Amino acid sequence: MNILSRWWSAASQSDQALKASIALTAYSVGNLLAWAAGVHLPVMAFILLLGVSLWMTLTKQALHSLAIAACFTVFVALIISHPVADWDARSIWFFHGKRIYLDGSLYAQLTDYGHWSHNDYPTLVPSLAASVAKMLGFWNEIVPRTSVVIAMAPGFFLAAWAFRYFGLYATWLAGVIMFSQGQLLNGYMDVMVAIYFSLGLLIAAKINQCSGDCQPSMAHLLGIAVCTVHLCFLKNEGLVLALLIGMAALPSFWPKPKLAWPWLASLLLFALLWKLPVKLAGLETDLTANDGMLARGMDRIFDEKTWNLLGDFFFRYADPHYLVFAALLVFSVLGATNRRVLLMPMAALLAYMGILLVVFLTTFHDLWWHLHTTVERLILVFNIGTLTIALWITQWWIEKNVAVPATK
Amino acid sequence: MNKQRSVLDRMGRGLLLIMLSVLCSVVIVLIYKPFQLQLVISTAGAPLNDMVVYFARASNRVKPTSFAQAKSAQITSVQMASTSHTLTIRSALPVRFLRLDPSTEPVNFSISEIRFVTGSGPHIVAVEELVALVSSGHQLKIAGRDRSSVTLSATGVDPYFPIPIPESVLTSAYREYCRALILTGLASVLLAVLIPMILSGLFALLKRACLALSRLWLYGLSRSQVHAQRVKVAANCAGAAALGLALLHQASLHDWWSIARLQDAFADDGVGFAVPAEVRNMKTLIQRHSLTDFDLLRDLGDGAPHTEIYQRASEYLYPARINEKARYKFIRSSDAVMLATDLCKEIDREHTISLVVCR
Repeated sequence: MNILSRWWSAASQSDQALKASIALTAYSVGNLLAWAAGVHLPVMAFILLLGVSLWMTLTKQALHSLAIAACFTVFVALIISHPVADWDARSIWFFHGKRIYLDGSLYAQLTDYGHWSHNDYPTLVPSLAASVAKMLGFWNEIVPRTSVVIAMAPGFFLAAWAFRYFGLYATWLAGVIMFSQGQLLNGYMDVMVAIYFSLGLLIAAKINQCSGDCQPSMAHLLGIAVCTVHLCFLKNEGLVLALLIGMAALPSFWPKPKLAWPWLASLLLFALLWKLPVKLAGLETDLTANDGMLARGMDRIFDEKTWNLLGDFFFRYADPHYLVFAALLVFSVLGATNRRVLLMPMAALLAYMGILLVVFLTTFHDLWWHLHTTVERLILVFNIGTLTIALWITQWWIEKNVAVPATK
Repeated sequence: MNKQRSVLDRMGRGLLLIMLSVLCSVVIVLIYKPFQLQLVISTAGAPLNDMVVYFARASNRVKPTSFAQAKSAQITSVQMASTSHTLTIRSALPVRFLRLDPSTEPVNFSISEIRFVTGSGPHIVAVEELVALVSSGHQLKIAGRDRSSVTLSATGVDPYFPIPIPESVLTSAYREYCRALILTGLASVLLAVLIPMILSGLFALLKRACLALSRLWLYGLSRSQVHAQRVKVAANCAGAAALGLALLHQASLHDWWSIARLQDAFADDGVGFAVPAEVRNMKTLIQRHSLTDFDLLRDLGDGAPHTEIYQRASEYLYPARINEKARYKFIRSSDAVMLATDLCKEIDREHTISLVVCR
């Protein structure tokens, strides 16, 4: 109890936006736990929390708060104008949500009915969708998709905490919206995965920045936990990204292992609440069921077509905006006076590229099909990741050299 | 402590040097392809179109039985008349087997000589040996022979015969290869030492350039004497404008949006056209007959879980479940007539979908 109150006061002292982010994450995790027990947290509680969060943020970062309110209003208005239509959204995420709602359990999908529906995928958004349906009193094909906004909310507040200057925060929001295009609200998890991974890397950089001369605050560590818990419970690949965030913060975690506790606690929660029941149900992820990986990988490595396909797809989907941000990022990193801080986050981003390469080289699917169905979504991690780090470097520089007071 | 650190530092540098050397070696070997073999083939008779020599990088223990294109490399493709041709085979790894594909069409020709050129002198494949090799080939017949040449007849579009590289030629080629590898290794170590020096010089230059460029972007703000507050206001306005435009753009992607649609949002179902008409018709039938499980027949997704109708039926019709053993089955009405037997009987219909019950 004492530890909790210390954590909470640490967050309170640092910023209202971070406090809001933690509170909203607590709602999502609480909702998962509730559904695991066969009950749910009412969505009204989230709406109340969101209102309080916006109000509290308004007192310190008025423009940030207004921007979040504007975004959410537009998002909800757009979402409730159309039923869930995209393939994975229907076949996976909202199908799982419907099953949680109708069967009354977080683990409804572990019966493996509809095995093609990736029943081992985690259920943060599906459980929120089920709670929205509970609020409605029935399952409908439109309103549960607002669960995407609920899952996105902690990220938006976390970014408001990370980007103190409104100009930068608004640019970040605009960048995320522009990069995501139709994938922002269609019920896919990839935009959120990209957002939480990017923010996780940013906080890791902040921790590394602090680890030399000063002690990183608990606020930073809770920020990492917010990202990790979302990544794990959003999508299977989120676990890999959560581990990479830990890797990015390794220069700080290694000498002071105590700092890694919130991060480890998030992973443990995921293992106990989701991975263990999945294992007990005997479900396997499609990647671990990938037999003959090595032979297939070696064949593809020496096949010229593989590299042509990979290059073709990644360049085709690399947004021109991304290239601009990538260039800015390179200038920023090379021009920065303290590159050491960014080294591990950038290494984590590169490691993710390496992991993706291995996945594509060893996939048991037809490579063209696999690239065709995933690259557009995967590239978001790099688009939003580079955008986030580039803007943070800008803020860093402004704080050092211009000393403009943050927006109130 | 410092001493320990410096030892670790040296070890790290040494390791880096080794890794760089190995990397350089691999790159040089892949580019330069130090294994070299010269082959002279003299032919006469009809011109040979698209003659190709494949080589296999097989180890001593593995004798290739197939020269699939993916596992061997094409050397050249030449138009040949009565002439001799010199082919140079270059490979990163030692080559042990060759295969000669003389033509892509049935043709008669003769080979007067196959000669390997090595540093220790030429090695000519004897006519008797050539006859034996051609006999073990594919779509090739010996039409005649004399003391100096063999006349061959290609009987199909894919004639070929293997040419094992003689041991004496291989020994000589290996010797050259090892010599080249040693030189490559030395060059790699040199490069590994030089590369960091060159890179650090380039990096310093690049850093200057990047600093200059990044100043144009963000550092310029402080260089000018603009008031910080004005900068903040301008940045906020620009950010707000960017956000507004992004939201407008996002809204424009939802071009079907209208106020009237929001009233439908809280409707009982709200699926609209998000699932195919067939599946919506199935839902009507399921509700009408209070079904808990059903099956899909024929092109509605029988045994095809990755089709649209199957997946939409699975999730949209849930909690009614697809079950292969279910008595109630959905089929297109056009197919229901053909299905009408003693075993199955149509009991209801909704537009194009029929509900049949089977024994």
